[in-house]
Formats: sequence, structure tokens, C-alpha cells
Amino acid sequence: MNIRKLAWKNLFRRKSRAVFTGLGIFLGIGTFVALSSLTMQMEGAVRDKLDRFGANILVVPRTEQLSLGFGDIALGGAQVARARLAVSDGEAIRSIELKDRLRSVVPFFLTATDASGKDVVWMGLPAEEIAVARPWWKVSGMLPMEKGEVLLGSEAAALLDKGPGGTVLSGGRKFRVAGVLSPTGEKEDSMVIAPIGDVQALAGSPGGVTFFEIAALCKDCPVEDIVAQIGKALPGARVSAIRQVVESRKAAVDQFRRLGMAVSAIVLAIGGLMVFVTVMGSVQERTREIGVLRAVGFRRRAIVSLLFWETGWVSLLSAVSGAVLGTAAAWLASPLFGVARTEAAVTPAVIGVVIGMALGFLGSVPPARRAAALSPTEAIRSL
Amino acid sequence: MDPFIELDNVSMLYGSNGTIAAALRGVSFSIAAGEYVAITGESGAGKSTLLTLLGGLQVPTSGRVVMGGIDLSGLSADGLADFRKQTIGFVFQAYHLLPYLTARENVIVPLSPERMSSREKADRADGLLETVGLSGKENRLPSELSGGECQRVAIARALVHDPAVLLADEPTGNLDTTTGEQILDLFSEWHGRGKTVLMVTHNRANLSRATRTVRLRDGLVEEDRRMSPSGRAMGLPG
Ligand SMILES: Nc1ncnc2c1ncn2[C@@H]1O[C@H](COP(=O)(O)OP(=O)(O)O)[C@@H](O)[C@H]1O
Ligand SMILES: [Mg+2]
Repeated sequence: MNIRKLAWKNLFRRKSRAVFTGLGIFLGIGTFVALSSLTMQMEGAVRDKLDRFGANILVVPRTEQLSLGFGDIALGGAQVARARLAVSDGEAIRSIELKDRLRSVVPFFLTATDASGKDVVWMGLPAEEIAVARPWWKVSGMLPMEKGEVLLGSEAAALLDKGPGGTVLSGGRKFRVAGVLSPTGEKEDSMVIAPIGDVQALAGSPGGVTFFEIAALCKDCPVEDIVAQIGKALPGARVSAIRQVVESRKAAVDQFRRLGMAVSAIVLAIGGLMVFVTVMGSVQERTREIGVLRAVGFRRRAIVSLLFWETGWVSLLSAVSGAVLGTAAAWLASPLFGVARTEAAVTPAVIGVVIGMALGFLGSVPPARRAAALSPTEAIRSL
Repeated sequence: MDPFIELDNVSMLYGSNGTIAAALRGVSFSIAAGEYVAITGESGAGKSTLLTLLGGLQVPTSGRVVMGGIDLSGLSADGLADFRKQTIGFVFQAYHLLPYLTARENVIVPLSPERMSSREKADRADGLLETVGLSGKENRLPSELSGGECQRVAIARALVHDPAVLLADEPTGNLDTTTGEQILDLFSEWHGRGKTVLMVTHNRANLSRATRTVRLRDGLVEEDRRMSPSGRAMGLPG
């Protein structure tokens, strides 16, 4: 038998006290691990969105910026022509130094024109890119796959009173409605979406591009560098990183994390306090026992290490079970927080166990000091 | 006779809420190695206090306690702990066993901070339990032992570091006469091996075992006498 085993036996002697000592840590670590696992999963989901949905970079002609400065009429035709983007500019973008980091470069062409007698905005993009560029779109019917097929935004469908299978007339041509888009809350709800070639033809601007949407291919992309390189490749274009959508979601997650941290901190503080109170009580109760140990030659450090081992065992057991519980809770709850269930994260659990041990240690420092300071005469005096 | 233990004008004051109680008021005497001293006196005379000072559980308010050439007042708390471990074995009236440990484990307790194999510790404990007549009861809890058996375990625990001095505070106080006699036999046996024994006792019958009796009264030595080997009291000069 050594001090470690002595501590262990003492715990078993006072099971309910040990359970109570560990309860705070158990709940605190459970809360902490659950919340931080959830936060981590949500952050992962945001990063995922940043990669997949985030058209991280937008390329528009510089003209618009100029037109702000000079007024609509101040620009010479040649200048406007030079500033306009074309499908061929996509090649320039794809040949920048960081081209490997580009996941997709999607040209968009927008024009306001007639659709069955109503004035609407037509948005053209390569049909095969729709799924890549707008993966969150929900369509009833089909996505337009061929020339002559269109997708109607929800409001446009209502305005034109058309559904899948219907036809829309424009520029003397017939377009078949392949599908209708569920409301997205974005501008495309009021648009007619069609293969880019058709929209260019309607506008009489073959090869024209209103803007490019570029998605980068990594979690921590050097977006600023990519922006700079594209800007160099296309001097006539304005290149900007747009992350607002994702940033706002990220801000929400940040808020959740801060809230989670605050809640965890409170529960952990209570847990630490419970350790402090129960261990202090145990020291009080065991004055005589500690006196006997001192009388038989235990140094003060041996008393301290006895108490540390006791709370160490309790903290370890309760922190580990709290971490397991927290991980399981996060796994079960993740769908409620809009996160797909993935493999349970180990990091929060490991950090949780470490924090739990540290908490048990901190909570038992004052009682241990008190125990060490007890006079060994107590043992004899209590005769 | 070389004094092994020296008490030099030892006073012990206890202060609580403004009142000061003098438990010892200038006690001086010395004890040679191998003596068996019975300390007697009325309740409150200062016997237990004297024992705590001799055992290095506390240091006197004034005066010196010197043991084996070491002035205990000069030791730190850990120094005193080491001194107790190396030199002193304590036996208490209430046994003070740890109730959640078996007899063997209770005997091992003083060894638990030591770097020593579990096997070695257990062997030493079992050897001592055999000496005090508890073979076969090593795995019993204190609650499964009689009072006399508990005190035997406590004695085995006190002896586990092979101390030069055994200090006992009314060790038979909770026991019937026969059982008390058996316990006293163990002290006599230990004394017979040349060890020093100091025992606080109320029981007149216990005095016959001792080689010397020191009687305290109100924190002072009232009487100090050596017994002849035949057990007859002899006056002590000086
Ligand atoms: N820790 C203490 N604090 C205050 N007074 C004490 C303390 N220990 C003993 N005393 C007092 O000192 C006196 C001697 O006590 P003690 O040494 O226990 O005597 P005995 O063992 O002979 O009965 C008593 O009056 C007792 O009340
Ligand atoms: Mg007493």
C-alpha cells in the first residue's frame, strides 16, 4: 500500500461524498465538452460552407465603379467595351499562379428583357455549373440542361403564372420551363435562369459576361493573394472577396461559442467550488485521522499528496465520464443545431478531461493546505 | 547513566479566547535509554501534553526537549515528522486505527509514503502482527476486531518503523483488566528488547511494570521515583 492506494481506499469508504465531490466536475465537463463539440462542429460546417457554397471571389467590370464617378453618359464606347468582361476572361482567371486553388470559375450574364410580355431579369450561367455554383437551390422539376430550357425563380413563376412544363416566350423564341426554384430569399427569386448562351443571345451580346463567381478550394485559402493575382490578370476588372454571407453565419457561431464558453465557465466554477467545499468538509471531518497520519511520521507533503490523489481519482473519473456524456450529448443534439452528424470529435473531450483534472486540483489546494497545517496534536487531544 | 531524553524547564501554555492555561509549568527531568517510565497524575495534570512534547507532536512554549542529542524546538514541521518516524511509536487510548483499512493495512500506513515494495511492506506488517498475536487476522477490519485486538494492531503500527521510544497515552484505558494485562505484556516485551517506553497511566497495577514513575500535578513534577528490580519503590536523589 502506498499513498495512492490509501487515497483510493479512502474514497471507497465515503462513496457518496466522493460522488458529490465529482458531481460538479462531471456536470461542468459534460457541459463544456458538449458545447465545445457543438461549436466545433458548427465551425466546421461554416468552413465547409465557405468552401462549397461561398463564391468567395466576385469579378465585375471596372466600368461600374467608373460610372459612379463620371455619370452614366460620361464614358466613351471604346472604354466601356474594354471594361466589359467576356467568357474568354475565364481563361485568364484560370491561368493565375494560384490556379490550383480555384474550384470553380463561373461566368454569369444578366440582362433585363421580356418574358411572355413581362419585363424580368434573365440570369444566364453555364447549365452544367448550376449545381456547383448554387448547390443549395431546391428545384421542383429539373434544372435546365439544354438550350431552350429555363428555370423560374419562385416570384418569377408566380408573375408569369408558369410551372414546370410550361413555356415562356422571349425574343421570338420559345423556352420550356424545366423547373421552378423554391424561394431562396435572394434576388434570383424574381429571375428567369437560363443557360448563359441563350441569355447572351437574347441580349445580343454573345460571349458577354456580367460577372464571374469564383470559389476557392481550401479551408484557409490565401484569398487575398488570389484576388490580387486575378486583378493583375484582368486589369479592367474589379475583383473582390465576398464572404459576408458566411461571415454572418460565422458571427452567429462565434456568438454561440462565447455563450457556450460563458455557460461552461459558470458550471465549471460551480464544479470547482463543489470540490473545494466537499474536500474542505472532508478535511474537517478527518482532523483526527490526519493527526494520526502526522503522528506516525507523515510529512505535510504526504498529507497534501494524499488529498491530491483523492481528488485526483475523483476528478479523473468524473471528468472522463463527463467528457463521454458531453460528447454523446453533442452527437445527439447536433441535428438540432443544423449540423450533420459526423464522427465525434476527440479534442474537446481531451481538453475537458485536462480542465476537469486542473479544476479538481485547484479546488483541493486550499483544503490540502489547511490539512497540512493541522497540528498533529489533534490526534492525541481528541482522546 | 547517559540521559537519552532531557526535559529542561519545559513549559507549555495553551491560549484560547484570551485565557491562557498552563499545562506544564517548568518541568525538568531526564530519561535514560531503556527506561520504562510510567507517568501518572490526575486528569488535567499535563500528562498528555508532556507526551506530545516528548513525541515531537508540538514544541514547548519555553524550555528545551532534547532527544538523542537533538533539540526538538530547532526542528521544522517536516523535521519533526521525520523525527517521529525514525524515533517514536505512538499508542493511543482510542487506538486511532483507520476504520476502512484492514489490520495489515493499518500497520502499513506509516510505511505508505516510503519507497518500498508492497511485498516488503506486507511482510513486515505480517511479522509484527504475529508478534502481537494476531496471526490469521491480518485481513480483518477494526470493526471485526475486539478492543484488545485493535490495540494490538495499533501497537504493531507503532512498532513498524522500529522506534527507539514507545509513547503510550493510557493504552489500557478502554480495556478490561485481563486484556489490559496482555497489552502491558507487549510493552514489557518491547522494553525487554532494550527500548525506551513512556506510558501515561491511571492504573496503579500498571505501575509495577515500570522501572520509574513520574507523577505530575498541575503541570509540575510532584514525584519521581525509580523502582528496584524487585518492584520496590526507591527514592530518587535530586
Ligand atoms: N490544545 C489545548 N488547548 C487548550 N488547552 C489544552 C490543550 N490541551 C490541553 N489543554 C489543557 O492543558 C491542561 C493539561 O491537559 P492534558 O495534558 O491533556 O492533561 P492530562 O492528559 O494529564 O489529563 C488541561 O487543563 C487541558 O485543559
Ligand atoms: Mg490525557
